Amino acid sequence: MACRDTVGRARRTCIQWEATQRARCAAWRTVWTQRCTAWATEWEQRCTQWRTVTERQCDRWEEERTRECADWIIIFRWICLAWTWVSTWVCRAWSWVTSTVCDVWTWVTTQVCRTWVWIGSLVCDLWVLVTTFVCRLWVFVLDTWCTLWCAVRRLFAPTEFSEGRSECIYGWTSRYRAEFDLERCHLQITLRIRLNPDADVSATALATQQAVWETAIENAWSGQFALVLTDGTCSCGRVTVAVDVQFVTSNEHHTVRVRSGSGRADMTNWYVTSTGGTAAHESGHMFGNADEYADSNCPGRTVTSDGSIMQSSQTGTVKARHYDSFARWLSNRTCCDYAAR
Amino acid sequence: MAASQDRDAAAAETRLTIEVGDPLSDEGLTRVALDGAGEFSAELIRKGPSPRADQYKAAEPIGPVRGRMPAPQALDLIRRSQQFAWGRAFPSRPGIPDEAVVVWRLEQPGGETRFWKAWLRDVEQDSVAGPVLDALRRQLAELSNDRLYL
Repeated sequence: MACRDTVGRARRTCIQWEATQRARCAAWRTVWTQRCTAWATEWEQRCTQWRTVTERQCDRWEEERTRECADWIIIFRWICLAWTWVSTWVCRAWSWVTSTVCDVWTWVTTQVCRTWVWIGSLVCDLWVLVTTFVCRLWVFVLDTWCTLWCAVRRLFAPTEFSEGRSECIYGWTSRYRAEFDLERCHLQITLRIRLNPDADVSATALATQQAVWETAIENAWSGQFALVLTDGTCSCGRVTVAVDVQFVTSNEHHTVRVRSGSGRADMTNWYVTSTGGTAAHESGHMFGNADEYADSNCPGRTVTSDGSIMQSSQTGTVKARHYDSFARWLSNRTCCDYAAR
Repeated sequence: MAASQDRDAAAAETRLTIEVGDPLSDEGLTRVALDGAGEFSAELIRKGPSPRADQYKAAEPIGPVRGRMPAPQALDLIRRSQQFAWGRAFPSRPGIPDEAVVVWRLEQPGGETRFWKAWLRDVEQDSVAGPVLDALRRQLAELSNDRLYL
């Protein structure tokens, strides 16, 4: 996963997390506010009902006692009426006290409930705030790391590319110029070779071979594969590759001694009779590729048999793996992952 | 005088062999042998790592080459070869990709055999071995019509 994508995903996750948590807090607050309101309403109704019932009982008590007192003789009637008045007063006092206790209970429990809602909401909001902050801090750290990582990767993809290579008992430096055209999604590779002919190599023979070698290298290496985006968000999903060979007298990437006659060519020693296939094979080393043929000095070497140019210079062709250096360069340059396909 | 004659007699019976390349590689291994009497032989040994390479090589088969070098010249080369850095360890420097490895072998009277393994480009630049290699290359090119090379 390319780091820019990781940062983008983390940022989206944070936003999503914040929205989800805020919604959960709001839902919790709504539910508990409704519960508190329902509780208050229910107890207010109960208290009202209690007050009404007890007051009616007191009224009835007073009516009944007053009616009974009317039948009594005068002296006892006053005593009866006094008893009725006192007992009714006690009854109403009881009604008032119990109703008031009920009202107080209703008010207190409702306040407790509302305080719980307030504290709960506060804790929930704080939780959202803190976790969102931590999440955004993590995104910031990731973003910073990604920026640094991409900057470091870019250092490994200079326009004038140079990289030490080694394989078995061989070691060399791969050098070439790479220019990425973002508009055209095109990677232009330039290989500048300085040919140092021996004194006995004629200018005519050299010029003839230069043309052969240039054509052979460019044909072998240009456009064989595209570099396809495999991970990350970059504007070019498919990048074409072209190789341009320039024979120069200065500012070269590689110096090749050109010898007369026939002989065993290597990366820096060619013969005037060396074929285009040999030049294409040797330029493969200049692009960072190792040999793929059997060598008794390198028993651990991976010997290929798929018609690779690094296995058989005369009949082989460039394979996708031989673009690895280009793919790596482009990946480092763009901070996305590319592979030859 | 007698000592000089003994040295010449010993050199005449000495055999110098050089092997360049690898039998498993596309270009194969070229083996050239020269003795003090001027007997010169060369052959290309290939074990054909891939059928496609075989097809390429099979288009122009190259057999063993035999010839003679003037005895004084052969004796001179043998004497020079006795000054090689026999037994020196293979250099620790990395090779140039495709750079061939050279194995020299000197078989002397009495059965003593000496070896020297080196990078081809180092041998070319060696003040003692370089001229011997050049002489063998010229002889080989002449005898094989430029079809075999070291």
